[in-house]
Amino acid sequence: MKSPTYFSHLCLLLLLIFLSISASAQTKEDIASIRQETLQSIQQDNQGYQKFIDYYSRISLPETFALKIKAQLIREDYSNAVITLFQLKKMLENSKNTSHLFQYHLMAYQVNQVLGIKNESFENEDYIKKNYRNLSEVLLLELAVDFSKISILTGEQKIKLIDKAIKYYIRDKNYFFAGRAYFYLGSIYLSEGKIDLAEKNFKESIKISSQNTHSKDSMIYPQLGIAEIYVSRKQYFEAYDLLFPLKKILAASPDTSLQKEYYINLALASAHQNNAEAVKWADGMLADRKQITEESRAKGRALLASKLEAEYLQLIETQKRLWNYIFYGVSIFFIVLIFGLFFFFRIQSKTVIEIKQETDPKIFNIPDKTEKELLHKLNLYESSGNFTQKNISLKTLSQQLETNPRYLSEIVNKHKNTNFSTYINELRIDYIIKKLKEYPDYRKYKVSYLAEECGFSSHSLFTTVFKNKVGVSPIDYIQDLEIN
Amino acid sequence: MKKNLYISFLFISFFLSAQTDKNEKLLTEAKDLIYKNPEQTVAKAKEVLNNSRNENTKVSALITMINAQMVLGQAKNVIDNCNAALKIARSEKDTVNEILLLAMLGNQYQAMMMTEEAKKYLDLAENKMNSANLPKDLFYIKGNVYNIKGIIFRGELNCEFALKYFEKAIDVYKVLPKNNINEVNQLLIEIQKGFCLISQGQLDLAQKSFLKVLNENAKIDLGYNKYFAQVGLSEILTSQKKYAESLRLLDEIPLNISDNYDPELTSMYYLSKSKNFLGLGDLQNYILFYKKYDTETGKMNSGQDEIINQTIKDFKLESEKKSTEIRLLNLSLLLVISAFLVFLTVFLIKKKFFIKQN
Repeated sequence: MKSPTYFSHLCLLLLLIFLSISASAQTKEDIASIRQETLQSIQQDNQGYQKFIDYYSRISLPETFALKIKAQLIREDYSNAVITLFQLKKMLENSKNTSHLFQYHLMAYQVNQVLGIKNESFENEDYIKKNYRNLSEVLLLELAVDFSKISILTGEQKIKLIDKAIKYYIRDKNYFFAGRAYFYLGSIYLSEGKIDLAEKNFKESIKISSQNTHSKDSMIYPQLGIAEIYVSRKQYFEAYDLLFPLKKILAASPDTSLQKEYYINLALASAHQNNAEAVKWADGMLADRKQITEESRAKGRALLASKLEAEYLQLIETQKRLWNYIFYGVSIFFIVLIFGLFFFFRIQSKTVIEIKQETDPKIFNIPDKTEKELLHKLNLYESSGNFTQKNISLKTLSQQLETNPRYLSEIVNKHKNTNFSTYINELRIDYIIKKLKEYPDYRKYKVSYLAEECGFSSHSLFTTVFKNKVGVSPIDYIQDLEIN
Repeated sequence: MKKNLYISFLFISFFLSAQTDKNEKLLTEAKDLIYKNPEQTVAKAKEVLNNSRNENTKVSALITMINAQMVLGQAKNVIDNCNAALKIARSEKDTVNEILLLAMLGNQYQAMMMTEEAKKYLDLAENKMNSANLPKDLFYIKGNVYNIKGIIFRGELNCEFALKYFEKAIDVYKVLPKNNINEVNQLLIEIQKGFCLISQGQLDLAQKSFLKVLNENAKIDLGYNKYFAQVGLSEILTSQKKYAESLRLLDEIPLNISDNYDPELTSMYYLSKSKNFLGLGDLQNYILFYKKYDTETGKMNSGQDEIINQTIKDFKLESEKKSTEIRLLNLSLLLVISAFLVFLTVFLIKKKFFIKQN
């Protein structure tokens, strides 16, 4: 009974995995399809492209902005293209997504180029040149307003890229872009004066574009290319025949550059046939279109210039702010450091006081036995008269008494109520007073001799110490003794 | 057509310069050289600017410098110096120069086709003019502001507004004492007015304006500007389908004289010619002149692109320079402060250590 349950669970799990894989594949395909529809509508649909853009914004917002810029450039809506470009730039401020950054630079390059801002255009061009190979190469072809006129790549590089793209698009049955790729090839050859190759590719573009089930409007591009070839071959009749029926589709096209090319070619073809009415119509349309273009271009260029100016000023302000932060940071660091040191020393000094208290000889507790022994030795030392030796120090005497200087100092302090040097000096003065009293001969000696006799190295120190202790100088004291 | 406007601005700067001794002499020399040697003007005005302690003298020097830089086409410098002078004028409550500088800024932005910025400054100038009591002698500024505003509206294809401003400008110039500059400016406005009237279909009034210009030109030399009036008249004739007559009028324009070269005039000339040939059914000549017109339009656009390009380039260079300066200054300051604080820290540590040792 158990095995069928396991089997059914396994089946269910496999089914779920299969469904999720197919759903994700479906989703990828759907996204690609929506993207292509959006790109196609941008190129051909004057009204409806906005709904595709809105829909695509739910899939990828940065790419939607890039697509929007392309749509605005095709329609020569330069002011809005500039605004969208700066919105995209802001959106990608902290982005590291190479594909999005590439898209931004490509659109920035195109906006700057069409508005004649060379420096900015060159900077973006550099970025594109360095990065286009690392990304999907068709991205460049798909986001370019007119790939054949893009100056980033040489003619040879463009042809190479288009050849690759054609294979990719044919495999994907993307007839819109396959047709456009052939059109671009035709345009490149036409600009290089290779008329036959241009014609061949324009015809191929028409053939491929005719297989596009969504719309055949894209055929208008290669058709216009062929008309241009006819004009260049002075086949004006053929050119006129090809151009005249396109009037209606052209009027509905969002591509204003295409419209201008059309009016120029129609005017030329009509003029050579002496069709003045058609020339006047084309001339009027062209004049109107040019005026709108120039006005839009001037506005777009002015807007771009003021946005760039504002951006440069902003950069300076940001830099100033950054330095302020650095200064604040450094100041805070040092303030913290100084306070830290202050507290560190405070804590440390407390510890030092505690240690001092522990090691201070005044606070030392000398064992009773040691104290008695040392006191005894000190009494012996006093009676021995060895204090009359010169250069007695706490250290030498402690060595002599076989103790440490701290103990000796403590004993002298505690039991003699004085410090070590005063103790020794007083012993010496007592000694010499005793000699002066007991032996009158001593009274005849010079003070310096007396000083030396009791262990002082200088007679002045002896006199000072003597006066301090006795109240009179040694000479006065001797005189008093003599009188008495 | 703009050079005459510069003269008007320059005149104001002459008028306002109440200089003394050396600076006065130097500034007068600088002004005399504006068209002959604008680089020298800039150098001399800079010298006055650096030497003077008087704020009014500084503004005068800056205005002289701006005029020379306008001639040199140094848009960025014009904008920067206008802003610098504006700052001083405002702090000194010098309303007249403030209005003048706002007008100059508007004029510069208009020349760069940055119409929004131009309108912003001109509106400010206009508001100031309306609230301040300008001395009658300085009504030139008013006329110039209205004139530039009219040109901007014309460029935006808003001829209804443009005509109002041109009329206002003419009214201002009319009440001013008669002199060559006023007369020239009035005629230049008549040309602008004429083209606006054509676009509005008021051909009779347009013709009146252009004829006035051509008649007055006998007394006042308008230079190559008079040919704009001739092109305007030919356009009227084209509209009246008098193609041959229009072409004859155009042929009188000596377009090949290099001194007269003006891309705007040349492109208008070729366009007018192509239209006339189209009207006459001479389609070969139509194509020929249309192509010439197209080439000239391209040149004109490139010229305008170049001005904006240069300005952006200058802005970028200056911001990079400023950025480097800020970096260096702050870095040095940071080093000094850090060194001081490190020294202070070490000193404190040592002091504490010394105290501890004792």
